[in-house]
Amino acid sequence: MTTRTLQILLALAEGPAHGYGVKQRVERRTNGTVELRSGTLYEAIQRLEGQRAIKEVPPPKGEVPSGGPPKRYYALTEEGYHALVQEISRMDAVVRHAKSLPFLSTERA
Amino acid sequence: MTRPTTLNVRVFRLLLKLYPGPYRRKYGREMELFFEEAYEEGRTQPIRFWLAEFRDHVSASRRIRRRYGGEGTMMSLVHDMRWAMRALRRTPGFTVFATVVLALGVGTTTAAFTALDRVALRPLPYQGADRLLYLGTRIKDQTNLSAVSPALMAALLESPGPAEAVVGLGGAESVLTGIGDPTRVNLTQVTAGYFEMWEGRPILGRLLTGADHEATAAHTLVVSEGYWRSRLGGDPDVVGRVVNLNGRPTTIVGVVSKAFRPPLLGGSRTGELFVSMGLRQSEPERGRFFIRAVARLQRGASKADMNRHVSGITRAVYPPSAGGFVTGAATRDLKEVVVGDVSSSLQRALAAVTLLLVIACVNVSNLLLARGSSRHSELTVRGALGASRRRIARQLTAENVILGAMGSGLGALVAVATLAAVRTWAPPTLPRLAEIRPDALALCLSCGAGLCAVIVVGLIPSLQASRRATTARSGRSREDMKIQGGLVFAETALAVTLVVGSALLAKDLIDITSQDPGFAIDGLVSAQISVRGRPAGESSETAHQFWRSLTERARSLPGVSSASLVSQQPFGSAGMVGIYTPEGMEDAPQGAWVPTLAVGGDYLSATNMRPLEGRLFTPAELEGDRLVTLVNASFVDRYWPNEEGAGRRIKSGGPDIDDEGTYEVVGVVPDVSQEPGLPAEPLMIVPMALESLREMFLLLGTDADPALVADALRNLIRQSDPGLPITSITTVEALARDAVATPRFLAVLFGSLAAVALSLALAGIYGTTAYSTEKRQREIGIRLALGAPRSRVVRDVTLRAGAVVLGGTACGLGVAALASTFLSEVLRQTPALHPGVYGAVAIAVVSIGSAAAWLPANTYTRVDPMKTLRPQGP
Repeated sequence: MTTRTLQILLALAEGPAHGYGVKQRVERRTNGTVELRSGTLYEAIQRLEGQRAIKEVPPPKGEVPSGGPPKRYYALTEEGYHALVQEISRMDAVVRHAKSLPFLSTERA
Repeated sequence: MTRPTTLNVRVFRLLLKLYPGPYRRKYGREMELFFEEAYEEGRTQPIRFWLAEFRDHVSASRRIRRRYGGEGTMMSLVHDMRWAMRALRRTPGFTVFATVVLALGVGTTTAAFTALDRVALRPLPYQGADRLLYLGTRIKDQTNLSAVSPALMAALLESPGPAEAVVGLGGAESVLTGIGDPTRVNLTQVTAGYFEMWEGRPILGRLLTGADHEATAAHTLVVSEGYWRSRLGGDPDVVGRVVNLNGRPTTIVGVVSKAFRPPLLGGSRTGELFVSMGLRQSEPERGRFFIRAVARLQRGASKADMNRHVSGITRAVYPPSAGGFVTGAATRDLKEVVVGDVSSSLQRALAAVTLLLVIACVNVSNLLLARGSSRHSELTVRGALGASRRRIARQLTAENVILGAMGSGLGALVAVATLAAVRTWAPPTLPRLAEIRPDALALCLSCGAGLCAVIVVGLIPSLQASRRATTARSGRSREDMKIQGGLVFAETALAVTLVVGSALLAKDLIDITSQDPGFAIDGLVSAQISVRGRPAGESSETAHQFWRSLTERARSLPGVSSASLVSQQPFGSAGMVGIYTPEGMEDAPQGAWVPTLAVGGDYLSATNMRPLEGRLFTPAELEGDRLVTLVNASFVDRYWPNEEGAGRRIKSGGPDIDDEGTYEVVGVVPDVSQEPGLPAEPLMIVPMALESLREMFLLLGTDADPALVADALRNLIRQSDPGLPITSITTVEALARDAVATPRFLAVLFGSLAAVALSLALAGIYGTTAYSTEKRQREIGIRLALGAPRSRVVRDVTLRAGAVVLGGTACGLGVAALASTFLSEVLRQTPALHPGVYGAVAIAVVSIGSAAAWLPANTYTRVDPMKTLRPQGP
């Protein structure tokens, strides 16, 4: 799973969002180090939809914009949620292993 | 709710075209909404934003396309282009031919358009160009507007009326001493405000100011930058230097920059030295009309206001009650005067080259049609593999676009080369010649037009070919043949139109040059001598003595058989004009304005002139013992129609003037043409000894090499009077050639266009016949196998093509006859509907066209029937 995909899934884990909402959440959390543009984002959205990791959902109540055209909202599916959990635990294992190594231990620092 | 679509969104939508259609339909709208919000954030750094956006979409779309296993619209366009390039490379002969044909059409059209635009359409390059008017005087019996006299100029300067400024210039050849050898210089006399009007700036010193034009002012001189650099060696201390101009000490006060380009008026050359005209005299001259006057109107003033004002002033200076030869005044737009009738010549050239462009397009269309048919199997395979008709048509159009682009690119080079050639070869009288340069606008315009032309022209062949490829119809279609026949017809008709035009011009040129100029020009050398080099205040007796002895000594030069003096160079513009009252006109209100030629020495015998009536001058008359004159045939026709001329009298001056002397007409001579092909004007020929002249030409009859004679003559003049400037020495034959420069230029121009057009049409006829014969090989094979003689088959094929050529030619002749009125103005001798020319063109085109059809017919029927009847592949 690429960093971008992970970040998109993490953003959707906070709740359903439209494309630009995903971008805002990701950039806020990573302090702008991960940048999302429409090309990359929708390419990932199409791929994740194909993998059934995310799906289109009706816009949440109260978030329908007053004037502009309706936007599509996406949410994590069951499969997406599992995939995300799996990935995070895998990363967690990696991090724990790394930290146990003497030359990377936080104690040393 | 709809929002306005911004430019940014439009660009973004173009970017979206990188994605495959289905993807775009699903996510395009969302991406656009995303983009709008993102742009709001990134708008402070638009360039950075767009760069990142491009990178993002190019890489994302590549991955998406791979996922779809297809291509986006743009990618498939790129793909089409690559395919088209490969297809064109496979047939280099076709590609090169079509490119060159297009390039010729586009290039020449671009060149002609640029020339027309630069010379005739653009305003003159001066401030307030649309308010500039040329002021002229109407003189009795003169059709053209004459220049103004010093008296009139002074009155106009005094009271400019509705004009913001009025300026005048007069040209004079002068002799400059004090810098190296005495040289003849091109002196421009100007009035106050001349430099301001044409935006002159000094690069050294100052220009002429109001004070320089005062009657009491010291003689001052401004030189041009070109003269300063070439003749004064760019001397930085030149200001203040005193030179001798026509014997008067004159101080150089400044150098005017080379950006100073006043309009060339009345055939004047670019000025080198500028002096004040010195009009502030008590009594300015009234009888000489040589000042070219230009006025710039005040804003809001009309041409009619100025016309009234100038007419009023002219009436005041030359009161009609006094019965003078000045009949009025007129104004014309300066541009009209500068550009003259060149505008219509250029329009003719543009019309001709546009025809050429159309012929080129028709030719390429024909080629594309044939090419489409011959690629039938290739395209059918593509159709069978699933390519849609639209897709195939698009690929073929891509080929056309590339052809068009290559043709236009090469055409731009052709245009640049053509314009360079025009600048080099055009007659120097063509106004604004230096301004004729290719510019970006003209090139873009014409190249765009060329590109459009080939796309439009290629559309029908592409659609034909693509339809056949996808509908499993036979490769050889009757429809194709019909279209091709029509194209050949059109091509022939257009080419014939051009050929007729150029044939008329060529015939005219031949008629003009073969016309008898009225005197023998073989072996004559003409040397131009300025009389101003002689000491000032020389008595006329000494002067005549000097010229007589110079003529004698010139006659004794080796290789020289005759020497004569004449006031006007053969084929030169009229030098002297005088007012006379021919016998029988004593009661007329005004005298006749007659050009006069003064001759001395052996002129009449050297030019082999024979009197029609009476006799030539006796030696005593040539020495000036009494007032005698010869007149030409036109003079007799104008003033004494159907009567004898010899023995009659012509009074010098107008009828109202008391006796200034009366000339006796001793003989009538044939018309001597000054401008070949144009009707001769009345002319009086008087003995040189009776006139005092400013300028003279020494004509030497010789059978030796003119160059050797010229050298000997130079030495002789230097020995006789070291102060006499030596100017051009040339053969009269060369002068005669120069005199037909304009008709020759037109004939060459149209001739080359017609040659190109005709060869294109012939190539079309040949190609079409070759193609259709090749397609009919099976049928021909059957006929031959059934015993038809080959000659008959060849005749059938040739006749079929010949009929199209015949029809095209007939149509072309009709169009040419209608269009010939265009040419009638420039034709001097040949009528625009000359039947011989039309007939000759018709016979020539039909026979050459039939030959072009016979050649392939003969080749392609030379086949073994068995071979062509064998079953053929798809």
